[in-house]
Amino acid sequence: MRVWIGWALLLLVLVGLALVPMVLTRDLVTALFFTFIFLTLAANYDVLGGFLRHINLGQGAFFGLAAYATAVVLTRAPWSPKLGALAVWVAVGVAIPLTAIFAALVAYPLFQVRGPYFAVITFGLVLILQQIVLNTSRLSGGSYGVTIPARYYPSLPTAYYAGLALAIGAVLINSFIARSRLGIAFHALRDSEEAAAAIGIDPFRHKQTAMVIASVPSAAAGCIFALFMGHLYMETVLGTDVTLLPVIIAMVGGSGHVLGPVLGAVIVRGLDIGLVYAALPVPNLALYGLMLVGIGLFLPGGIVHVLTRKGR
Amino acid sequence: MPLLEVIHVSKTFGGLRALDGVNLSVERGETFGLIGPNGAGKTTLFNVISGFLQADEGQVRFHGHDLVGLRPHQICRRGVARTFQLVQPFSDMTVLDNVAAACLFGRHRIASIQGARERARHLLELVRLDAKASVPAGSLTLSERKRLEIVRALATGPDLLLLDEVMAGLTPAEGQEMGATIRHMQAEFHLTLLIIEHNVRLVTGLSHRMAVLNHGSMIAEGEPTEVVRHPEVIKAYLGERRSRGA
Amino acid sequence: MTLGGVYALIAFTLSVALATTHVLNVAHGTLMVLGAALATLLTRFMGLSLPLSVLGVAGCFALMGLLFDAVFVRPILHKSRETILITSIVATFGLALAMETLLGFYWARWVDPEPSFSLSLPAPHIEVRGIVLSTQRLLIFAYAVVAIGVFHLVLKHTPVGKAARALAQDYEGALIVGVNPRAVSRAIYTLGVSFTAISGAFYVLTVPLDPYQGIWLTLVALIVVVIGGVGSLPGALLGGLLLGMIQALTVFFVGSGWSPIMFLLVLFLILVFRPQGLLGGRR
Repeated sequence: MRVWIGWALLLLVLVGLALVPMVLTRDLVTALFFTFIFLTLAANYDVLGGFLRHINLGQGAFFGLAAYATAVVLTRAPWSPKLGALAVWVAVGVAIPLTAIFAALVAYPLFQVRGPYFAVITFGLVLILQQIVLNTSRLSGGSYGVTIPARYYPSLPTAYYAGLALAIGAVLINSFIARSRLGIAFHALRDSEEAAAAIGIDPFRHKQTAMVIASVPSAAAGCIFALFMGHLYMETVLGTDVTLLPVIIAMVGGSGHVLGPVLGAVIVRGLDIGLVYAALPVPNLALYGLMLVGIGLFLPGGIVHVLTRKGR
Repeated sequence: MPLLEVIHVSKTFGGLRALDGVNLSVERGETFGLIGPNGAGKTTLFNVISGFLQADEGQVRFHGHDLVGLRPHQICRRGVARTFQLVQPFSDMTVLDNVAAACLFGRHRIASIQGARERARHLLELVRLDAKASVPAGSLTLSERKRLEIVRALATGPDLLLLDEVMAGLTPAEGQEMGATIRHMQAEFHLTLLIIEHNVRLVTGLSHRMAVLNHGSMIAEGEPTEVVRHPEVIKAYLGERRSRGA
Repeated sequence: MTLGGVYALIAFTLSVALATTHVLNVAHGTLMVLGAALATLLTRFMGLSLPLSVLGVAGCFALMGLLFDAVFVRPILHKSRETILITSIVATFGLALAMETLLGFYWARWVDPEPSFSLSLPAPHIEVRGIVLSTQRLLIFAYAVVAIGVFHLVLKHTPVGKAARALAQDYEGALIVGVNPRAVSRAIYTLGVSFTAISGAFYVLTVPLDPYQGIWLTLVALIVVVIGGVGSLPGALLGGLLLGMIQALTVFFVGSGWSPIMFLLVLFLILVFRPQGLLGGRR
């Protein structure tokens, strides 16, 4: 009976979300689009952060790399306007595999370290991409940014539905992992890497797989985001706040739980949109920071944890 | 051809020679006991055989193939399983999934989770943990954890099982029971066992052959009753005791 | 090259705190930036002399260290190692973000619309047999050496230092023989944060800092620890000097923007080919 209500509720929410572009204002639809993008990243963050408990502060690097790759392919290659949408598909077809390969390669050095070193060095991925963007202005536009020709921009409903599909996809990937062989291997590695290796689980290969899986939807999100924004600045796709928001979302909601990122996205983005309207005299990033302090000290398991504990 | 051959293996940590030219061979189907005082190098030898440490020199042959250079999960898939002296259950997973994971990723690599869980349930009955199948492994008692550790290693489908002090910390009654379980498992699964144990009496009762390691070298090898009477062995154990008393 | 000394120092204080309390202080570099900001404020805008403002920084940040210990370390010290680590990374990352954003925002509003911290020391260059040495650089290097020396002596010879080393070597064992981890962490953070903030003040004698470089500096400290070998003091010194040298060479040959990229590249190469670090033995 309870399961049945759950499914009905889910269906209702999905139908509601599908109707949104026809009902709500442009601003709110855009805000929801951004929420889907961040939810995708947060769910991806949780593949490593939740299943394997490797805090990956560099999840945003995959998003930013794909966004820039899309923009660079579309602006620096001599596309004839006659080709139309083909150019976009080529750009996306370059950006996503490139990001996945990047994820597979950086896994080699990154998984040599664990715990604190892993968390901070993964953040180094973001910093290094920031510097590369700033130092290769001929390719990336440097601090002036790069503009994608307007003929490639998707309409708002197109972007919205693509974002929605990605977010649903990312959450489904996590729920699939949770029930699969892969999930059992991740869980075993999280509890004891030594014992996991002793029963035949290859630690590195599984962590690398997790990283590649987590990079693909984030990369797709980067592509849509780049096309929708049209103009990319380093700060908007690789800025510290953009790259950290997914981590905050996952942690507020509850890392390691399939619904954690969803709950977190609703709460954090709700606050975020509220803050825009409240127009406080303090920069948002400072509030995010204080929010992290609060989560770290008082709510290490996230809100899902509180709810499930009470439910029992 | 012996199932396991350790040929002149040495391992040094900083200035400490933990293993010094160790030779050992274990025949298929036998139970081989390895004893020795604390710090003699027993666990180091296990770590070298199971791939957690690389030997500085020497060879480890299993079924005639060299294991040196393989990583732990590869060695597991060749049919060598081990337990850890400090047991390492997957604490947040259920007891059942601890064992099912070994069925999924060990040598037989059962394809379906359903199949792995069925097999795991059967194996848990062997060590009388079937009633605890759905509790998190972190909530087990020490004696239960030790049994889980063994059955998880068994679930990988090994030919050779390395048991590292599985009776340490148990009451005498529990120790006896563990001995019976080990014998039963060996018969049912045609296992070859290499056992490290501190409790000389229990291991003497279980083993077909025994060897004694002291300061990284083998000082005696043979029939269990002969080995424990060997003067060098008595000196190693008593010498240790005397210096402790001083 | 002289910056290598400072890198070694911040790496050393970070890793001592990590080893004794298992708290990773991501705000480590931000505290260094704050130290530089306070020193700039005191000298440039309040007219204090350099030595006086360094003293001011030392005092303020000793208090800051006490506060940090009370809020971010003490409440979680009794938890499991893994919990401490995750909790501390999240909380101190938040702290770093909040501090740097507020610093940048209010500095721009109240002090200077383009926040940048720097100090000047009107001292002549010294010439030794035709080699020109800058006094600032000598001073920075001397500070780093003295601070590491002092910290090292404290660890080696004082009761609280011995207790800290015991905790780092065998945490549970140290607790059993009666070491009080709270007293140790208070001492470590008071001293460590103070040294780190002063190093910020000295750092900006040659290279200016902006408010948002804190997390990068923490990362540099961690890179130094990892490439030198976790837990090795000579490793930290070598790692620090190596990064200082790489930075000098990169600035000279390629441009200053590339030095972070070079740092990460060197780190990745070392991780792939020598994961235990240059001077790390076991791991």
